[in-house]
Amino acid sequence: MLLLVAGVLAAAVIPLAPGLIVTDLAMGALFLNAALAYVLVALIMAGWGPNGAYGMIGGWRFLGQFIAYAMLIVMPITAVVMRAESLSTVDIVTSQAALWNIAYQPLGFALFVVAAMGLARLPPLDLPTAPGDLAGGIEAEYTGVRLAVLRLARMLVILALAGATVTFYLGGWLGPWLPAPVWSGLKIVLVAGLMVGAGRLMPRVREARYLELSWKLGVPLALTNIFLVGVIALVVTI
Amino acid sequence: MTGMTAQMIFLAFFGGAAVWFGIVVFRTHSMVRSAIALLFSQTAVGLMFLLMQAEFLGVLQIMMMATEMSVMAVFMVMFMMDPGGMGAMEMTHQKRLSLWAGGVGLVAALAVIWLADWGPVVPNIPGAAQQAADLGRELLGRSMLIFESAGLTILTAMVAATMVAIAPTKERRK
Repeated sequence: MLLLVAGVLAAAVIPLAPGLIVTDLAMGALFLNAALAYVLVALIMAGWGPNGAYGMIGGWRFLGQFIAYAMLIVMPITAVVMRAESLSTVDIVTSQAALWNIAYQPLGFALFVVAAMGLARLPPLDLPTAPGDLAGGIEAEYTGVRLAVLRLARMLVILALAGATVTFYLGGWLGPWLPAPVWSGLKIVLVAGLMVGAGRLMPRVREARYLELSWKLGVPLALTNIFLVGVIALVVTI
Repeated sequence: MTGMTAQMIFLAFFGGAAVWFGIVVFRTHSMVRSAIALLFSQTAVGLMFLLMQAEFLGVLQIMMMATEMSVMAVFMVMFMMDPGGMGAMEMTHQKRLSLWAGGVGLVAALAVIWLADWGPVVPNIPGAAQQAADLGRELLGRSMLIFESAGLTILTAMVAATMVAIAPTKERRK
């Protein structure tokens, strides 16, 4: 249930069009992070709660995965916020009117999407709920309505993350010809589809390997991204 | 006036919740329940910040506590004899000393609250974006040394704790 609330809260600050947003907080980007932080709490509780080995290991595995993805969610957002000079998600979209962030900071985009897939437990980073390995991990002990809520919440988190990717890197509602909400919807569905589909073509990544890659490669790259965006923002006005 | 009263009621409610969850931390016999109770206590403090219109601090507190309590759980898993947090254990230790320390701390906190000169109530609260900007200037100006020292100390403690947790071995993984 907490997972569902986290997904709903994260989606609440995603703007679909000018004026079409549940709540335009001045701290939108930070609020999104705060909401997504509770995905972790919810999944640890969901794994630990049933008092079963598979669920518990799945929950703690997700915690290990969190250590890997957490910084790579926050640091690319920092660079996005630096360009927009605002934490408001609406301001972040309007700052991309001349050039979308996917072109302005492609490194940040790549890091953010991979980290988002880790957060959403999508393949190849789905070991916390891997069906072949832990009999479902966190989901192992749940059936019926509870399992449905858990899976629905996961879909909602995926959509919120796709919405965040679109807002931060793909210009949100910006686009020619079509109305703004249609652009937002199309982009969100496309990104969500890519996130769900792309990883299925790759072998699963072990948490230790994911942690190693995230901290030894991801974090230096994210810092480089912040540095580059800072230099570009100071030198060029786009 | 009604808004002010509602604000006071919610402030008292979340204040009470923060204290209650703080008590639960020591009343439970499970490390995981204890960690979650501490998280809820800190989240209630974050909600109090939000009620006092400190949007940035509130959201930051709510976010950081979720991650910090989880990182605490990582250390718990590394150090404790009960890695999964499934077993029961006593959450209080050195009771006499703890009671004295808690009592003295409470008296000191109350003394600061009652005796400090808080100055006049701010009539116009700056907007959320302005608060964030002001806080940024404060952190990168006058308070930079304090925060950087605190940050470095925490990082050193975490690295040291991790090194202690790693069993000494000569075999190499690769």
